[in-house]
Amino acid sequence: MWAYIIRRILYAIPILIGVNLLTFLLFFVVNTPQDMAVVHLGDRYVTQEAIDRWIVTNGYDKPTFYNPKAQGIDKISDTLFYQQSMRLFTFNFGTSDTGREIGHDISERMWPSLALAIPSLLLGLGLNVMLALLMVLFRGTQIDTWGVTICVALMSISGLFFIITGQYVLAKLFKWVPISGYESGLSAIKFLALPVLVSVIAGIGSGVRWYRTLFLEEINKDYVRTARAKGLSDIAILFKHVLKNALIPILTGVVVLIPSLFLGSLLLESFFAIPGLGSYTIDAIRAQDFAIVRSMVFLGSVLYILGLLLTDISYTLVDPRVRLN
Amino acid sequence: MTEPILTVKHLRTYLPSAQGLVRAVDDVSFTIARGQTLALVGESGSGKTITAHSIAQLLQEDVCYGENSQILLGDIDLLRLPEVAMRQIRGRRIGVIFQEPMTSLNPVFTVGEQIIEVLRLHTTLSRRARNHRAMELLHAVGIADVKQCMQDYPHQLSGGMKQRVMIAIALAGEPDLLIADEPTTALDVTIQAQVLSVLQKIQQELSMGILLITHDLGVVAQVADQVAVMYAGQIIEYAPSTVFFANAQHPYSQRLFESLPSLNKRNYLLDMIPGHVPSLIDPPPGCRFAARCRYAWDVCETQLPALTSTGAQQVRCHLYTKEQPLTHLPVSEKQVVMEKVITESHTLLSVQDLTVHFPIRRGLFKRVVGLVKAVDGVDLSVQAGETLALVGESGCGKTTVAKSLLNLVPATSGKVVYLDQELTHHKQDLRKFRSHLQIIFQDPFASLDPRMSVTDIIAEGLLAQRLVASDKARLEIVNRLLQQVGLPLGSAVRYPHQFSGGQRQRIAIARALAVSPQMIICDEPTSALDVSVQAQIVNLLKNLQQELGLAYIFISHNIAVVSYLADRVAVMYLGRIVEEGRAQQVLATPKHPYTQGLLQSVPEVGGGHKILAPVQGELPSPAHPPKGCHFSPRCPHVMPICRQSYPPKAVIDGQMVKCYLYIES
Repeated sequence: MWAYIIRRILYAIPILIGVNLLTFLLFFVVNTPQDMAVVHLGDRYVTQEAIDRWIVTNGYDKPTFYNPKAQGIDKISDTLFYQQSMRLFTFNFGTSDTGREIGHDISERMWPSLALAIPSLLLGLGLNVMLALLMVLFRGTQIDTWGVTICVALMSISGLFFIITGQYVLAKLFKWVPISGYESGLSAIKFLALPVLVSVIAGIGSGVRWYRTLFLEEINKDYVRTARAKGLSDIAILFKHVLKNALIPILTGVVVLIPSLFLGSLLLESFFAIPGLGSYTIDAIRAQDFAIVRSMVFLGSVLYILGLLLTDISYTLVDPRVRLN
Repeated sequence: MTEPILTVKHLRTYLPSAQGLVRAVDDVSFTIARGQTLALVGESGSGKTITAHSIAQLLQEDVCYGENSQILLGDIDLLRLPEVAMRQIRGRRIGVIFQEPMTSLNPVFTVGEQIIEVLRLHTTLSRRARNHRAMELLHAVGIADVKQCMQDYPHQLSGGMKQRVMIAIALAGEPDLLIADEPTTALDVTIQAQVLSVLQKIQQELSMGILLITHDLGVVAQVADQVAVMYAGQIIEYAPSTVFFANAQHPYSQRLFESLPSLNKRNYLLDMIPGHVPSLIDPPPGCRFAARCRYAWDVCETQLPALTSTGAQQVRCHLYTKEQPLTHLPVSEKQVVMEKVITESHTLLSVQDLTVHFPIRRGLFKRVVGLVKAVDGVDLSVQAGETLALVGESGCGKTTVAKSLLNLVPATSGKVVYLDQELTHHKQDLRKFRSHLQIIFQDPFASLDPRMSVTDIIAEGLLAQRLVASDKARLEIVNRLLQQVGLPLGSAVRYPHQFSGGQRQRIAIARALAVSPQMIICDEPTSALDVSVQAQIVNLLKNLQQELGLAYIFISHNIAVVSYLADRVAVMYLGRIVEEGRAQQVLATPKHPYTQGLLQSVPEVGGGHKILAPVQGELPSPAHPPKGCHFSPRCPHVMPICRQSYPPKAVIDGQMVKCYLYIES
């Protein structure tokens, strides 16, 4: 098993290098420093001198991959790729176009993101699994039929609707929670309650339907018939035999998301003015701050690869067929 | 007869479906006494599994039972028992073994937990006592390393071991009645014999009643005390086993026997039951077999015969009711003679020292740490127009041989020569040989593309080989082939799912024939089919061979079919051929101890009431074959030399055999 995990980690290395290279190509070759400067300074009244000055101040005037003028190791290291992209491997993101330290920003803003994303994920997972199990227990009855109908209805409604309705009803009408904003510490709860609720409700439709399908697939398998022949009750079969088998795809589906939780939600954070990484990204895009966007794209890729790695590892932990082969 | 443990009276089980109510079981009555085995025999769709599931109440909730139906376990009527009380019966008083040991165990729990679960539910044993009891049960079903097995997960066990574990689970509650639904169908004959003898031993110890559901008349002959034959949801013959095998009375039972292939029917076509089982949504008013029966007259069409007692047995047939017009039933019609004449004889295919090795990779860098020697030095030759059968247990490498002959799996080394042309290592011009060599696969449900029409399936080979240019000519060929394999003309525009298993296998045969091959490799072509359908396919293969002069390599574990079809037989064990010769010789006077054991394990219809399990243990892993003769760990005649080196070839009476018993030291 350890050989398997180590091999998976080794596989991740070339993928990370590839991601880094692609991100670099996207932000420095496809979209050249010249373009960046123009976008940043506005293309109407800007002079070429101003553009050149902007490029030099931001350190974008180096050769791309190879510097023939430099000496020794600097031929490689005194280049755009080395200075802008290699440092990403050490999670040194440099400074943003407005001169702020990106690494510092990220480490500060990931906490509000996590404070929103973790409860949303856990509550959503728990609720979806419970509802799906309930519908499977009453499969073929009115409860099941109505459950599916409601799920489809929930899926058809845009997330924006839940946000706006939630803010209007709970915050504006009943004044139970603030409309938006954020405070650190325990008082964060009152600001997070509504976005967590919206996030859970918006996920119910697709989540419950997906888990219900997984459970139904398991419940028609031969081992369930064996369990019934043993004299086990429906509930015991569902919670012991079916759940443990269906948890394999459910868990691995969730594990892949865990690392990405750091990045926060673009939509919810902007609407509820939560100072997390999601709104950070949105703001950077709006302000055309390529240094931040590049850092977030790279970070997103790294976290996704990490998610896939964790998925593979969690498979070996929960599925004896993988663990023991 | 002792007190009955199970009495089923007028059982009617109706299942709702989109087309209407399916009368899957329609007035079935029988009893099982303590220590007795009743075999419920029938082809797929006859209602035997639904009967068993009705008894254990394992059907879905929307099932309906007849008003006067009763299932009495002792004096409890299971049909009127609430589900909560039924749970105390299942696993405790009724144990069930299912057909598919591969999927019937929960993959994420250990074997120990799956047995202990039953003990926890139905006994008051302490935790330690449960553990101990579970190990006792595993020991009783013949598992050697009980401690290891307790901690194993199902995927770590072989098929035979899994079925033993299933039996242990079913026995954990010490049931009065054991329902065994095709318990050995998925197993090899040697393992089947072992499992059946374990069941029989335990039955005697616990004096359980067993309801055995099977389609294999040989197994019935070995283990059953009573036999009930089901057809289209009804019992049509119910008799003590010995009486049934001596004198089956219902025309359907008789035809089942006649459609069984065997050595002494070689020169005849097998009897085939025409037509098909009637729909159970709207069954005919008269006898359900009438449309297919050779004796049927007008009353059979209109009036359902009652189950009539004729001495020791009961038969549902008008021939035995009062209006009986015939005093003696003719035993069988004139058999169609089908003697095989091979006109020309030249070697079509010869295989020399063929090996197929699969690397085992382990560790961080997936180094090759060993080889699975699936095929390990096989020599074969096939003459034009003859049938060579390749027999052996699953995992012996017979299918890999077939695939590597066609280069579907690349051979590691060795030579395959087809009409003086070497096929191995010539990938580019292999394509033109595809029209000479064709293959029919085991599972007709999985081997046909569901999105292609029958025409497209059959014509695809013609297109790929660019044999026929015009669409019209291709269609003509397709229609001719459909006629040749006995499919109705309208089949051409239909899709595979619209056909039954037997018909699909006919489509597969037509597809293979389309490119006019000289040789067809048949990989277990009848193992997924019922006996009567098997007879149709076997007859078709035999007819086609006669007509077209085809050569077959017939891969099978079904010795009866092999003895009927094959001219020569090669017996494989762990990647090597251990015995080869003319079919009549090898099957009548087997030389190799493995062949002897294999043939003795086959339950025979005329074999009577005994189970022989002459081959003990299981097939070793081809990754770690035993030293010396591969069969030595299981061989009853093992000598010291057998454990040292692999025996060389010896030829005795024209039979090739690899065994030290036949080598003068």
